[in-house]
Amino acid sequence: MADRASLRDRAFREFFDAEFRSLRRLAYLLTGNWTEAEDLAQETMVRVYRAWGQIAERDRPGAYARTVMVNRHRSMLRRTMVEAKYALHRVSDTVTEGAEADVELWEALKALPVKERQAVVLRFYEDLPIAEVAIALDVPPGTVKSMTHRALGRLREVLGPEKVPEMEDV
Amino acid sequence: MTEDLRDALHRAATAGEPAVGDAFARFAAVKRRAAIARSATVAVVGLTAAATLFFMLPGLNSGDSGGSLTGGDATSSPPFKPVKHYEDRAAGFAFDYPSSWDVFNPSVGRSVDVAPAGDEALSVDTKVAFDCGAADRCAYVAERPTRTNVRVTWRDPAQVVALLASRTARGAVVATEPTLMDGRAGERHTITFPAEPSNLPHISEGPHPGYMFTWCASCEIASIVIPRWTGTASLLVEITSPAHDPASSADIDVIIQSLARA
Repeated sequence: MADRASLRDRAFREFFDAEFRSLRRLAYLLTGNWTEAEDLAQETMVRVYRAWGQIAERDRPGAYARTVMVNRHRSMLRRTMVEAKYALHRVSDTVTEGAEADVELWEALKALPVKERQAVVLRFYEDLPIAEVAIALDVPPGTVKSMTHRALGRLREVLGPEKVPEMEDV
Repeated sequence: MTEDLRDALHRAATAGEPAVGDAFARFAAVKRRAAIARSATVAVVGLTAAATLFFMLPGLNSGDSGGSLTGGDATSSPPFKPVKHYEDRAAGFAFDYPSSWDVFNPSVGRSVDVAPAGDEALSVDTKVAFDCGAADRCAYVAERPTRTNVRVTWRDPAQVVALLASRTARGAVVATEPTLMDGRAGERHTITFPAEPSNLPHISEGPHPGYMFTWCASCEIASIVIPRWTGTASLLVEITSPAHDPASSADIDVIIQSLARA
């Protein structure tokens, strides 16, 4: 029993070491804030750890982790987005982190509805196929296509057609 | 063109990236805190299913508050567990708490009459101090239908876990995941409850419908049920903490202050 537990922990540790950085970067693209990204990535890993016994045998526990992350991100936003609108204490909005890089991109991403932002990030940063994005977002593949189409349209308005593909090009 | 967007996202994903450092050590700390909160979640969900909500008597000076403590089971008993009822009409508070709780040790606090509920500004604070003592959970409910700030000063220990729970229309209890608020002394945290109840979990049934905000510090959990608002409201949690003394009880000063509608 103890051996099984330590094997499990060792396997999870390997997964953690391999995936944490990329998960945190994904979280950063979703949140725009490294502190929140760290929190989101850590919360995601806690959940993955809890479910490790069931998911460890899967080919891609990383995909599970990403699904967990987008769900957690939405939960986080439910709590904080109203705060950002009404609160006396502003939610950190530090798009200025790394702002030299792509302020326009950040602003455009932030302006997207949550699921559209998630769809764009999963499709174009994680390079996930539509089917996997659909699983992560818990929507049908057709919805992923329409969300991506709308999101790209919005991004194109801000960033210009030269930077954002038409849906047919994707 | 697709490459431009991908490139931009990849650049953005690493801009200003802090060092990973000992991420696993941080993970271990988060996991520990989450385990505590999960115990609280299970307890909260279980008791909420069995009783109306968690309530706790405030420690009011009876001379100031006009509150009354009834010793028997209340008529507003939940389906599964009898509750006792506490009212403080002058301050506009009422509580139901499980009758099995016998841990309340009222500490002297101060309460001030507040204006009736309505659109007008309420100009006074009501400070309630109560002692969770050995209770697993403490709760406070404010029946203020206007905007309400509830400032909670948590003395001991430093860490506060905020947990939102709700009850669906069919009576099933749904608990959100805990929000860890790693409090340090003097910090302030805000959770805002919106005008539209659908944006956040809310209690739609029971004698005190509203939003429930529950927090736990080393599993001494406190809950606040805020009635549904017509406007916006904020819950301010101000964490003040001396060095943690396991032998000490956790005192909570709850300051309720209503704001004028903007």
